[in-house]
Amino acid sequence: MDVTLAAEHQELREQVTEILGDELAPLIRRMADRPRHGAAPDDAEIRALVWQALTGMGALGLNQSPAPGDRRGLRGLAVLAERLGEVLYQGPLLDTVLASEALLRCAPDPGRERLLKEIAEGASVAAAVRDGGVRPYDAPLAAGATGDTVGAERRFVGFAAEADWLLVPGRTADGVHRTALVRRDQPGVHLRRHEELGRGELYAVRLADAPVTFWLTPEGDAETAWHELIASARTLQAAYLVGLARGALRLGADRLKERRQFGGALAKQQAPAFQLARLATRVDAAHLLTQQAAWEGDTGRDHRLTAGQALAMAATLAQDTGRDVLHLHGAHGMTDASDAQLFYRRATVESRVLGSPARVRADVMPLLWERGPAD
Amino acid sequence: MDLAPTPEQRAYRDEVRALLDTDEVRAETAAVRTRPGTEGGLLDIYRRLGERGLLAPNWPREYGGSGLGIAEKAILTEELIAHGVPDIAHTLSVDIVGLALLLYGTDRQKSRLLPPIARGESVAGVLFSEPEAGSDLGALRTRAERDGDGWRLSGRKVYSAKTQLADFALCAARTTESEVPFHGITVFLVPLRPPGVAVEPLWNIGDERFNEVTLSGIRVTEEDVLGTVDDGWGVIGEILGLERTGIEFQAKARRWLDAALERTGAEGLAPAEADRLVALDADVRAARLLAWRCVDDLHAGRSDEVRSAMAKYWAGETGREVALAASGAAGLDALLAGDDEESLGHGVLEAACREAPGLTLASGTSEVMLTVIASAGLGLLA
Ligand SMILES: Cc1cc2nc3c(=O)[nH]c(=O)nc-3n(C[C@H](O)[C@H](O)[C@H](O)COP(=O)(O)OP(=O)(O)OC[C@H]3O[C@@H](n4cnc5c(N)ncnc54)[C@H](O)[C@@H]3O)c2cc1C
Repeated sequence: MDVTLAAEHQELREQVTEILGDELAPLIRRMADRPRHGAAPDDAEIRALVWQALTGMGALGLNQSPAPGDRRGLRGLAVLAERLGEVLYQGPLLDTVLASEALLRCAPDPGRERLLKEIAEGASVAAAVRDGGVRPYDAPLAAGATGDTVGAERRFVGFAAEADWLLVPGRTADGVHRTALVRRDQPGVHLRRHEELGRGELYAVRLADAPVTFWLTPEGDAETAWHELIASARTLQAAYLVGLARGALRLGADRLKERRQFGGALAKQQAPAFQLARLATRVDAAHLLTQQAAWEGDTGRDHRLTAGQALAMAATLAQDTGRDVLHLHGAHGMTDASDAQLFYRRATVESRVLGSPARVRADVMPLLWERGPAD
Repeated sequence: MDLAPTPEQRAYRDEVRALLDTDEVRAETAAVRTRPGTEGGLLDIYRRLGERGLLAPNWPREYGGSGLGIAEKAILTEELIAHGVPDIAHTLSVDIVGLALLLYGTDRQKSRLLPPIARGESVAGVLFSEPEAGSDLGALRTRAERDGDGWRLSGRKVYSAKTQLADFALCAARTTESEVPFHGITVFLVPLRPPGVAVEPLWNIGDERFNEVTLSGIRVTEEDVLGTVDDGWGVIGEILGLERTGIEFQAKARRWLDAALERTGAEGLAPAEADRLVALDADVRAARLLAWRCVDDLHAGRSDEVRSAMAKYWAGETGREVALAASGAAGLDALLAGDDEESLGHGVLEAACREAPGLTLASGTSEVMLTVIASAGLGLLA
């Protein structure tokens, strides 16, 4: 059993770390944050730059293996997602790779190939999955009578206003699971930006007879494909949250070294130092479990249980780290000038967008008794 | 042990509730909550309570109070918070500054400064924290230099709430350099409007802004000293200790938890979430008991620093946890802010998530409380 990253993933990590480097990290963190006071910074340029750099390094094609049915990309994507979380990147990248993941699960078809190519070339997708309640999946979806339009209400859709496509899964009135791909700039697509805790780019999306470009029809059993896709989404979100916790932890450790009270650096006090040491251990634990989920997915194993467990673990960790690191910053951590509050707010939103940890655990709970012996 | 309120306390609570359960109060509160950046200061509701002597119920009548007890003051705090009325102006002005004046103020200071606060027409602030002196307040650097029969104050104070609206503030400054720790600090009553005082916002995630207050040689006299020159550390310790009951923190936790319970109902929760809410409800109830134990202590003329540290620690930690867990159980819509047209209850749980980090920092951080419990309570850390 080798739990270290394979050479190709090490290399990928280095490449991503170079692109989203420490000098750029403070700028990326503030990307898409709209302050409650004062004007939002004009960050269009840096956003475009980051998107170009990520697509340029082939991030959108990581899971598009040339061999059909061979999905070796989840580990690589998890490595990427972790770094994205660490620098608090906000953007449509993970939704876009999930859309290509969903397309890859469909039967080959000229429409599918065209879309995959567009995505590999830089088209972006926003996943319009959730309603506003506690269940992030299985929101209702109505296919038009002729089958070429769709109606749905979705909430908390990231970057809907700038994505080229919307991926809209849901359950029809007769209980069938379906997924539509809709061009964002079509009539019948209505967007409204949420005012929410993260103050990011999250939108309410209303589709009223919006034209569907492509209905995704998975090869094999639709339910199984849907659950596998959810597991992949959970794996990537878990990786993002592990990264977020890692980034927050670093910020916290830096603060303890800088901040002096009682005649010395706070870093010399055992209580806060141990608090961060505990979190650091949890970060490594959650990182490895997330990588295990990705490995299971990549090697054709059933990764639903591990992905759910990894997401719940990473979500709780990210929330706890955001909370504790803010606290260790003192009142300064609450100010707009401090990134500690940014990590805290983002951790709170990001740890819930795929369902609260309790719900995710409840969802995968039956799989615990179906699991085979460990390898 | 008798956990029932006295008939007088019940009547007082009913009176306050009747005043707060009105459309005007609901409208005023909603306006503050749905427009970010419009924090509550001199609210009409404060004036309405003030007119009846209810805003500072425990103050003597001559200063605008009703001569009631500390329990009535706690009831008022609970009810303001339960009704969603921003309470910080009240807590700072009545509970902290008012208490300091009642304990240490001269008759002249009290009759000049207390009545406008009790009428809800004036707010007072606290200028203790500095960029380099937070938990370690003894390290404060603001100087009071002798100037004839008075002093000139120079320094930078941070994180003060409501000072943009306040007429004056308690300000801790160093009057004497001393080898003896904590000696040489004096508490002044500093006017905030004159030239020489600059108040700048330090925007933060909460609805209540922090301010940075720069004092550039503003002149104060003996008239403005609270307590004794050079002995301010005792004044600070006493007022922070007496004010520290955890009552406002547990009341916030209760409001947020109830908002989530109302939203979720028992059906549809994951068992673990339901379990968490039951446990948190117990924590909030215990927080209330710990807080009321401190209120009882004060009523009986006792004050116990370990009990009040426990009450503040428990209520602060519980409140922060409630904000996160309650909003988590209530679904993503709970994170919509008050100015989103689809927010739940004017974004009460979203605002809770923004206010929550302050609960374990303000009025003595959790670590400072644990230090008191460990040292004074358990004889540790010696
Ligand atoms: C909502 C709010 C309102 C406030 N209002 C006012 C106001 O009106 N006027 C005013 O003067 N101030 C105000 N403050 C400031 C408050 O008093 C300070 O935040 C508090 O004293 C802590 O100082 P600090 O924030 O500088 O944290 P720091 O002292 O920098 O501490 C940072 C963190 O390290 C921890 N820590 C520090 N020392 C130790 C140690 N030895 N061992 C273990 N842990 C340690 C702290 O508990 C904290 O979590 C307010 C703060 C808040 C959050």
